[in-house]
Amino acid sequence: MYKNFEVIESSLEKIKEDIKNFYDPSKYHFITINAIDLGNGKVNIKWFFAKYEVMDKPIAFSVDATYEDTIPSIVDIIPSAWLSEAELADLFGLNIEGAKKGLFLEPDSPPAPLRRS
Amino acid sequence: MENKMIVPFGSQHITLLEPVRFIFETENEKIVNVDVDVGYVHRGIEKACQTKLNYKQVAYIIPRICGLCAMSHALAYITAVEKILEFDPPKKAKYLRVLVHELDRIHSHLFAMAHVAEAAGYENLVMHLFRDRELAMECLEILTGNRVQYDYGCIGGVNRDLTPEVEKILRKKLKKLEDRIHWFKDLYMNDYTLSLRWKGIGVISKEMAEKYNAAGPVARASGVRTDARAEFDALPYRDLGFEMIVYKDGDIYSRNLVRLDEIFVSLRIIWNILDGLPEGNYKEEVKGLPKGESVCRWEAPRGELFMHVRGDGKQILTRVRVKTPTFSNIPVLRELFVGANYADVPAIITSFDPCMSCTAR
Amino acid sequence: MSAKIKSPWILHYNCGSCNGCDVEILACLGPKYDLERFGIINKGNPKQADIFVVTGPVTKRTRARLLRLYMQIPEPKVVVAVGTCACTGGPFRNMYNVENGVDRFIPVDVYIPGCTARPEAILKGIKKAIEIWKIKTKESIEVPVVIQKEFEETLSKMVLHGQTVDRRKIIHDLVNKYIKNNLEVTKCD
Repeated sequence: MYKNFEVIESSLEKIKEDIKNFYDPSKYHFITINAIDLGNGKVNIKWFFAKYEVMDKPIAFSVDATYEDTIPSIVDIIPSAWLSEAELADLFGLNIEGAKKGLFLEPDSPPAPLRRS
Repeated sequence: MENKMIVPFGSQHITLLEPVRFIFETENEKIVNVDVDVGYVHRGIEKACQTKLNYKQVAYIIPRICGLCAMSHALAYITAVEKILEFDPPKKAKYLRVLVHELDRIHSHLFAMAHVAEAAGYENLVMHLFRDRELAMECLEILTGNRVQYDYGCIGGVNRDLTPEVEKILRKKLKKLEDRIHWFKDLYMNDYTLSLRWKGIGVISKEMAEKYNAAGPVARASGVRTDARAEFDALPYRDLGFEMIVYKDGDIYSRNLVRLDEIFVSLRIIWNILDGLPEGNYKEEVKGLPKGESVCRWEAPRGELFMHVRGDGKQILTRVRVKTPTFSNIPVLRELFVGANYADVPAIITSFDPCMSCTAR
Repeated sequence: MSAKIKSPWILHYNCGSCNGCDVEILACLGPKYDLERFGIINKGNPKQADIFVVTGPVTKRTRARLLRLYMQIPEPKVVVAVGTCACTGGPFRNMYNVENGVDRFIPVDVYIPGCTARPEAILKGIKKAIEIWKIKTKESIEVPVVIQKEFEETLSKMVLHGQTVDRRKIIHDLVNKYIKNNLEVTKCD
């Protein structure tokens, strides 16, 4: 299923703790957060990291959630994540702590356009 | 403080090629707070990739995210899909992809340098850089058939072969270009105007670059050793004499020097390809439907491009996510402005070489 | 007037294009194609500009700026749409955040197709625009497409009541009203 990156399964409660233990700014490069709509109101969220200078597979933390869940923000661990979180909050309509909506969408754009259904 | 002033910058401004808006809160000349709006160019390409188009057509809409690094977007997507299909493109196709990708980098870097020079008010240098950028553009045109949106890559290889006649012209033009780049290097190292305007302005320390996850030339100018060409196994860069360019100062001047030195590296890679292009097919038939998930990290001219593709065994993909280089650099750009002089803003923005059509997609 | 004819200044605005046409416009201003030989300077200020060069398919956030910039350029003015996406929406047609072309909002005089438009085509298009611009006078006031209907209604009403008609003022008022009512300006954060 996952062709060329490693996946570490986690859960909504644990994810912040996991990333905090894992992330070392001088060793790992935070790439982005991505969400995939699995249908039926379910969504899979992945946090991607890669090592500096070494040819290695990227690492992803994976969490399954629903659109009603509140997703913890990692801005206090990785300050540059605010942009990725704002994008997901906007395009998927996810409830991410502290993420503001309206980064890309206008009032007359369709709400949460990347959801399938 | 009483005398705070709000200065909007953009969305339409002479130094900006694209719409982006910064709202600066200033105290006298110093910026104390900044707000950024990057969403002007949001078109909804990711949605179209997941609903309207099949996975082969997507390879031709993805480059329309950004004209300057069109080749990087297309090839990163193609590589991600080929990883899902477990297809290894022919060796010749890989070399030709590197060739076009590096030519793309040369013209993009020259363009970025011209843009920074324009913000410094050095009109003469702008015109020199633009004239020599045309050499790279001519190379690309004769090789691919178009000047900006080449659509050169396709799933399974590349769309055109390199014929001996084209190779001859490429060699001639690149020789000329290389001489000119040496001249520029001399100018950048010795010109008093450039160092006076750019040294010590907009400094990003190594810690700051790591903390805010800067990418590309911006990170390498600050001493962070990161380059997706060395970190992701997609193209044969190791065989082609790739070398990572890293500077330590982290100011506008070193960002320019990183770009300039990377042009030398790109030229060396191109010479190696022209000298040792392998025989064989440049395109092969790819069968099957993508089922699975893969990622691709790609060193676009502006930094690390990240592609995350998921297919569920259908013609239309489930998810295509593009994380572009400027998307990573916006947080560090925002932090950098706090404490800077308002007069340096155009130079700092252009030295990042921002690409908003990438950021918003 | 004759001095002005020799210096048509352009204002360039990108309303959501892929950057490709924008770099080609800049390449045109460079030494190889040398658009500046016609007296053209790329100006950032709409109040000094004569030719409005627009690229991109018009995204939802840029449309209000497009109208405002258009209104700020003094007459006579010419609009050039560069690239397929500025003409019709091109590859971005019918995407959810796209308005399919510049001529949905403002009157366009010259269309330059191509993805991306070639510098030679841009040169020819701008040459054409200069010719159109020479014929236009200060009194040739064009109505933005979006308020065409309202403008005609207001005009006929005013003529009916025997009021003096100031076309420029009516257009300005209607555009401001349109932007306020239809294109709410949102802020990031």
